[in-house]
Amino acid sequence: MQKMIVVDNEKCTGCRLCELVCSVKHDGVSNPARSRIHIIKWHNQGLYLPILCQQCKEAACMAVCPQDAIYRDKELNRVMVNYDLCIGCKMCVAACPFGGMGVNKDSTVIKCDLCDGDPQCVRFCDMKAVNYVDVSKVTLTKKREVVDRFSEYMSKF
Amino acid sequence: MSANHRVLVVNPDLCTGCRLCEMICSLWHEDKCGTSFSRVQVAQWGEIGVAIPVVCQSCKDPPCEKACPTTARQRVESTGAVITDPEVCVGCKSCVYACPFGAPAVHPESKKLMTCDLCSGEPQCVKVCNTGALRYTDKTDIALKRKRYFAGHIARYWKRIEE
Repeated sequence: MQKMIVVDNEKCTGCRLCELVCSVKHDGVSNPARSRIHIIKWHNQGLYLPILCQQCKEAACMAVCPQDAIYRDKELNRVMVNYDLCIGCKMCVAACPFGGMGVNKDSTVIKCDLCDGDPQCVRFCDMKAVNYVDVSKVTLTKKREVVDRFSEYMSKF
Repeated sequence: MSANHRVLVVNPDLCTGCRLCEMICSLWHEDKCGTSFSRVQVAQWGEIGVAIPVVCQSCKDPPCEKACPTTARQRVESTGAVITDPEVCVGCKSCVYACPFGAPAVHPESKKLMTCDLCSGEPQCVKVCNTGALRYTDKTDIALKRKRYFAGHIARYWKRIEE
């Protein structure tokens, strides 16, 4: 059973608690700039979008790494950096289309590692906007919404 | 914010291949307008319209520094750039073999190796780049800018923000 992080932007309030717990868990400091997850905000529209590494199957970061330092951890279905091989050239940062790969002040590249199977952002998200769910159930909520809407409409007749 | 918190970032999507960065680089360092004297090189594929500026990435754990037999490759603490000391360099080109990007270039006259020194914290290529393909920005800011760019795509698709 493989799980992945799914974001429900309708529930996100933009509190940025996920950013804080992420930096605390990984770097031991409460500093959103060092977080692996970031919330992009449009205050006027009330739109908050948590963005983080998508653990792509054909990952761009993995393809461009000159040292083959980025690999897929099959057990947790995640993309990982082997820091023994990494030279810190930041090519992966340039290649990722989502900004999933970040850089710390000491030039180490940082990315979401799913907290080894217990993502802290999910644990602390009060609104349940960030969820860690089974891969097969990712689209299930969306399917349910469509079916609900459909049956509601059809029940009028 | 001190200079070594910043890093030179390349966005190939925005590069038009004008090679102005190469010109200003050679002019700044050598007082010459010759692209072979430039520390930044634009790799171009004319048929498919792709241009990518290639420049020293100032790696955290640089292979060139490890490969250099004379310790000529050293990091400058103020800017974070890894540069070659021409006094110590013997021109053996070990760094050229070690670098995965081909960033170190051989100086056409002295035959010593040259790489980007970030112009002592004020990269001239960034100043002249009209499209913003080269940026000199805070390290922790790179991923955030990219995330904002990507989130903008989604938000526009949902028609939640204006074009």
